[in-house]
Amino acid sequence: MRKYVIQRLVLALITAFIILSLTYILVAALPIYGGGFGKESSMFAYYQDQVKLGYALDFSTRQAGLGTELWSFVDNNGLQHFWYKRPILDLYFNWIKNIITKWDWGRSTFIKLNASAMSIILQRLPVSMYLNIISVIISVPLGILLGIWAGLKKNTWIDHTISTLVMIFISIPSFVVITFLIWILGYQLGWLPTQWPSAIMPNSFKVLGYIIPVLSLSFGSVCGYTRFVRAELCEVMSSEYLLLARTKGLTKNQAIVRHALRNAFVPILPSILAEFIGVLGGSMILESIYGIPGIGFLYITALNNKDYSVLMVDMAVFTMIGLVAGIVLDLSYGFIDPRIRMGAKK
Amino acid sequence: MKKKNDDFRLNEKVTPNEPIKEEKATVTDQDFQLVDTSEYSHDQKFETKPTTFLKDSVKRFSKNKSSVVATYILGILLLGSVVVPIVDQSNVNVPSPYQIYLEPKLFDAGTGFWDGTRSYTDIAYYEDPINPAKSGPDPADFNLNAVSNLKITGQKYVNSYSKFAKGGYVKVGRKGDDINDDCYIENIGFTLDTSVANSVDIVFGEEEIEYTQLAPYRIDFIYDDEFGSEDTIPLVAEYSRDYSPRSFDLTAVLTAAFPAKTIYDNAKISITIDCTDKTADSCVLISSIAFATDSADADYTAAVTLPNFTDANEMVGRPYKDGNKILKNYWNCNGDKYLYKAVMTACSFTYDTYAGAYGVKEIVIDQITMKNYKDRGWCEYNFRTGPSSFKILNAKKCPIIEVLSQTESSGSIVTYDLTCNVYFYRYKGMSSMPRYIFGTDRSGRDMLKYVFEGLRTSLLLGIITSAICFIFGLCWGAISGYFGGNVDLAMERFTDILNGLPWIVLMTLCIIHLGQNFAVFALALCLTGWIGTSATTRTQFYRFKGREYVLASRTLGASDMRLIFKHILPNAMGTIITGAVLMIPGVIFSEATISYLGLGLKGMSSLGVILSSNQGELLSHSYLLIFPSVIIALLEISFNLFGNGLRDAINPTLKGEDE
Repeated sequence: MRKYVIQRLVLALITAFIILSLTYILVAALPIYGGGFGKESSMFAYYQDQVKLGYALDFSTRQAGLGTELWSFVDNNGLQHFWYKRPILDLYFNWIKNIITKWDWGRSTFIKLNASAMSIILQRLPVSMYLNIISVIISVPLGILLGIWAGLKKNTWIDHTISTLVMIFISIPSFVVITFLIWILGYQLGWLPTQWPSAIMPNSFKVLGYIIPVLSLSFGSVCGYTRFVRAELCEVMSSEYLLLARTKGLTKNQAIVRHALRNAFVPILPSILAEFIGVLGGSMILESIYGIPGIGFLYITALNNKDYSVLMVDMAVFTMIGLVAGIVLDLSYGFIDPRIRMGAKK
Repeated sequence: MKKKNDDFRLNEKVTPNEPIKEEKATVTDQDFQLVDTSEYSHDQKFETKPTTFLKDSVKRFSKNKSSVVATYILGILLLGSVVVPIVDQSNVNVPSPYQIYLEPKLFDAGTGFWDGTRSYTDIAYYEDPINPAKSGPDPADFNLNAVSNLKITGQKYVNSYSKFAKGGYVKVGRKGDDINDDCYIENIGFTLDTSVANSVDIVFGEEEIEYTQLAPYRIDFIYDDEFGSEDTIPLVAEYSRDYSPRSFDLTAVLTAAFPAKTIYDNAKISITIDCTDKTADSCVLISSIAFATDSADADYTAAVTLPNFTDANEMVGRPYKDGNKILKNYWNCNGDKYLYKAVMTACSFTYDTYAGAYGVKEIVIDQITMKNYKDRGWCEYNFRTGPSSFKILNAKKCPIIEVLSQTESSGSIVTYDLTCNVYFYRYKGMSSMPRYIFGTDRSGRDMLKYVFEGLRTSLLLGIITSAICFIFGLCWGAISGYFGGNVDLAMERFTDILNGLPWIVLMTLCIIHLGQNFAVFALALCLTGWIGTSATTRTQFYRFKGREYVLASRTLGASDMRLIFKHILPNAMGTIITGAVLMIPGVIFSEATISYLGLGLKGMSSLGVILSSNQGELLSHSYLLIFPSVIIALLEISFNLFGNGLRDAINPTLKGEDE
């Protein structure tokens, strides 16, 4: 088992490395702002740091004959400076070097000039995390309860109602749900804020601001869990060992609690664990519609404003979340049900 | 189980105590008869018709009610996406400014639901003193012919300039976090003559305002001295919080200061507000300022009293310049000069947007248009006689109802412009009032056509992408599954890496490198879309490749190609196809999502693009979002139901076992 865990982790790291390398090279090939971003003195510091980090070459003292490829800047003393963006492979190796030696993932160009991209991500991470944790805490028990209810009352009107609603809500795109939640609860009824409350708002208002995001995040996962639990429970309920449990004299409730539920949860629990890993990632759609300053919104802002360093780190976070969640999902199968031996040969 | 119990109970009730009677039957040899005495016996031919797999599937599918309904809905949507853009003649590529924001209309106006009307509340009411029939909401915004159920709902406070409001206060101040802290308001200077009595009265307001505090103020008299530089004489020297009306005798104050001087150039009254307290926004409320003089000179009196105001609303609305001339009645302010609590009469009414845009309207038409109508024989008109000569000849077609006036342009060639009441839809060349079932948007586009064009794009993208993914995934999965071993291992690792990339990352990279057109979207969605199909195919191949019939075929010398396409694939097809069908809504969903984030298709409408561009109008014109949302939700739901039904029909083993 230990060998398998290590194997999976190493494999995930290699995959992550390949993915990030590919993305970095593709992103680095994009034309970034050529002629400089502005004339403020803070820009000067940015260019100097770029030279220090090995992303650019200083041509100020030499004869500049390379034309438009240069970043130009006139400092406060009227001196002209030129920098040359290094070739892509140079950038790539220096980027890796900086990550390993200084944990510097690049500098932001738009969101906060010359700030470390990693620090920006770390600043935005908690908001997305809180939201996701709350929604997981609400949606998992609710989804499981609804699923159990529908599964036990199979083929009654309760089951049909729940299943139909689940079907409908799974099919409606999340942005439609969010938009209409904001419209109805925010604008029509006026109960909740129509946008994420800013830091200066009173606390009661901030708490109200959580309701719409949590609701819209929960809708999807409640539906998902309900469907999943119902399907698993239905399968277990028709199995022979449950019949045996009844024949040996257990009441229906005893049989359900001791045998049906436990076995039904074997595939469900790992997906819950994986969902907890997913709390780190923000929902891009929700965050950009509701204006939540999390990492999902950051991704869109960085993308639209060509802040590629921040974009890169954000992509890295999303990639890692996906990979780790996959590993947790696979490994927890083995821990929960010893009969399943992941990675075992035939 | 239940049924048997019921039967048992039934028997018990009818014959509770009687024993069951038995009849003895005797059977002899003669009772038997041989059916077939021929030498060879054959199986009888089946009476029923033979069925194929496909027919059986269709039969199973048609038993699933919800899937059948979903299929019909899907069919309607598919048909609509093809037919509606062709049948609907309106042009959605050119803006039509005269028909913006028409409400959706399916039924006739007055039905109360989906009838192209819109109810307004709290709209400023304008009372026309000359013609009471023209009273109502602002004629610049509303066509009064289309207003119905007009009701005055009472008085309302407004805090921004409106030409229909009266009174209120001028709120002068600064925001709490502004850097500059002194803030003043002053009139444009006039020449003051102290040989006559001059005075100024200032009335302040004292009200509690949310998030804002009333700040202390100072009042100065400012003028230009003989060298042209500004001099100040304080009227209220210390910052004061006394908001009672103030009156200053300017002549007395100035004579006391400079007994010899009588003419003060560029005289101003300046009220300075202390905004140093940053805990809240600071302001002072002024309800009126009046200069007065007892001079007999009418010109001088007019110049002095020009900046006066008693109506804060009117003062706030004063323009600074008329052309290049600075208006003397303007009040300068370096902070915020807002209106506060002006009173307005509010009304509520129902507005028929179609009658408003296309109904009876007063417009100016030119001579050529009128001549055109005359030539067609719709009406009679004589430009020399004027409006009185107008006569309608064809009441069903003539756009003009009556000619109100005629103006003659001066120039070498005399032309006439006519002000007329017209049926606007006829003027625009339509034979009847248009009816837009989904309404129109901000540039007058017919939403019905626009939405269905978007649906067509979305569906096309979904189907094309799914088809490509299906073919590629099938080949990949078949090779990987059939050959196994190292080939499988290598191919699987490649899929792993590709699968590890978040789709939004791949999509973004494609979009920033290649642009935002249809082909790039299809490509970006294909990049990871095929993995699902390939995984299913691979599993199916593992399942079937060890079967005996495959082995038998191989021993007979069948090639790999034949084994894959003739023997294994047909068996695995059911599962794979349903997967592919369920992929279409997934693709549409992904495209809508990324479009909604603002990275969508450019120059083409898809459902996501429409939703994204109308995102900001949820509050004002919610129908612009409701219709596309309903269509996309309907599409997703019916696709999913259809796909599930198909899966159950083709592959009954995957279905819940008892259904």
